[in-house]
Amino acid sequence: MTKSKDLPKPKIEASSTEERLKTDFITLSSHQLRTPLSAIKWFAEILLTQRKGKLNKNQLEYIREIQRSNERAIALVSDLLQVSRVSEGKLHLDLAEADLPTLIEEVIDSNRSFLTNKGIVLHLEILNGPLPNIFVDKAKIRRVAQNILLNAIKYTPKGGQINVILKNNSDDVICAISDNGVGIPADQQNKIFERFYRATNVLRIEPDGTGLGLFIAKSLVEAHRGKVWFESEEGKGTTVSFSLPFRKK
Amino acid sequence: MSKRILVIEDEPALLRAIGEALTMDGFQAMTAVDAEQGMALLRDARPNLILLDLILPGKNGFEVLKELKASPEYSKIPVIILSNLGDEEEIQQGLKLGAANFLIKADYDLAGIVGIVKKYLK
Repeated sequence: MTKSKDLPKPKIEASSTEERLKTDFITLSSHQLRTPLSAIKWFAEILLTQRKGKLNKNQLEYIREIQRSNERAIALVSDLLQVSRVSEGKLHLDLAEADLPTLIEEVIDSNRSFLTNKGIVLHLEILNGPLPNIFVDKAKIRRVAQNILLNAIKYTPKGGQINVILKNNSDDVICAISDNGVGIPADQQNKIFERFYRATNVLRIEPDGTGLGLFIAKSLVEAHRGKVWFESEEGKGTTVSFSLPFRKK
Repeated sequence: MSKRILVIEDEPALLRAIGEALTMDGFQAMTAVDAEQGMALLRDARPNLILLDLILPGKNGFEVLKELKASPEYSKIPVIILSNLGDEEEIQQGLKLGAANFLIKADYDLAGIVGIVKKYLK
C-alpha cells in the first residue's frame, strides 16, 4: 500500500480552486515522472563505472543507449513543465543586471563538446559595442540561447559554421544565431514556433527532439518584452534572432 | 576518518543509488527514509553534510530544514536539498530557510552531486 505523501504547497496565487488543482497536478506529475527517471539515470551511471562488475562491449553500448533515451525523457518532462508554466501565466522572472556577451559565452562553452564532435566552427561578434547591461532572468535567457544554439548545432552539417552576432540596437540588444544547415522549407516556416512542431526535413536528420525548444525560447523572450524572429532558406541555412530591451519598461 | 553524509530520501532506489555513489567515493553514507529516522541517525553520529529530499512521509523536507537551522547543535551543518520539485517558489523557500544549495535530482548525475558535496566540505 502506498503511503500518501504531503506535498509542500507551491506558493502560487490562484484565482480559483480549479486553477490551483491544475497547478498542483502539474507540479506533482513532473515530480512523479522525474523520480523513476532519476533512478534509471543513476543506476545506469553506477553500472558504467564497472565497479559493480565488468561489462562487455554490447552491455556497455546498451546501457549508454538507456542513458541517452532516459536523458531525452528527462528533457521532455522539463520542457513540458516549462510550457505549462508559460501557458498558465505562472512564469517567474528573477530579474537582475546581466552582461549578455557573458551569458552567451557561457552557453557556447557548455556546448563545446557538441561543436567539437561535429567539427563546427563558431564565430562570436559584437557590433556597435560595447553593449550596455540588460535586466533579465539570467537562467531563462541562457535557456533561450541554449535552445536556439542547440538547434543550429543539430542542423548544421559536420565541418559547418555557426555565427553568433550581438548588436547594440540603441533601445535593445539583438542576438542573431546563424547556421549554414538544412534550412526550413518555405511552406512550413509559419509553424516553426508552434508547440511540438518539427519541420519534416529535420526529422530525418534529428528524430530525437521534443519540438518545444523554439516555443519555449519565444515564450521566455516575450516574457522579457523582447521579440523573436527568423530567416531561413531550405538548403542554405537559418538565422534565429531575438531582441531584449536594455531597460525594464 | 571518512566524512559522514546523511541522506534523507524516501524513494528506496534513489536512496540506494546515492548511498552507493557516496560510498564508492570514500564517504560514510548514513541513509534514512524519513525525517524521524534521519534525526535519529543525526543524534547518533553528527554528519558533515546532509542531503535532504523534500517530499517525505510525515514531516516534509522544509520542516526538517527549519528544525535543523533552529538547532544550535546542528544549524552549521550544510544542507543540500535534493528534490525533483523545482518550481521557483520551492527553490527560493529552501534557500531562504538556509539550505546551502537546491539541486533537482533529474538534472544531475551522481558524479555531479558528489562533486558538489565535496565543494561544500572544503
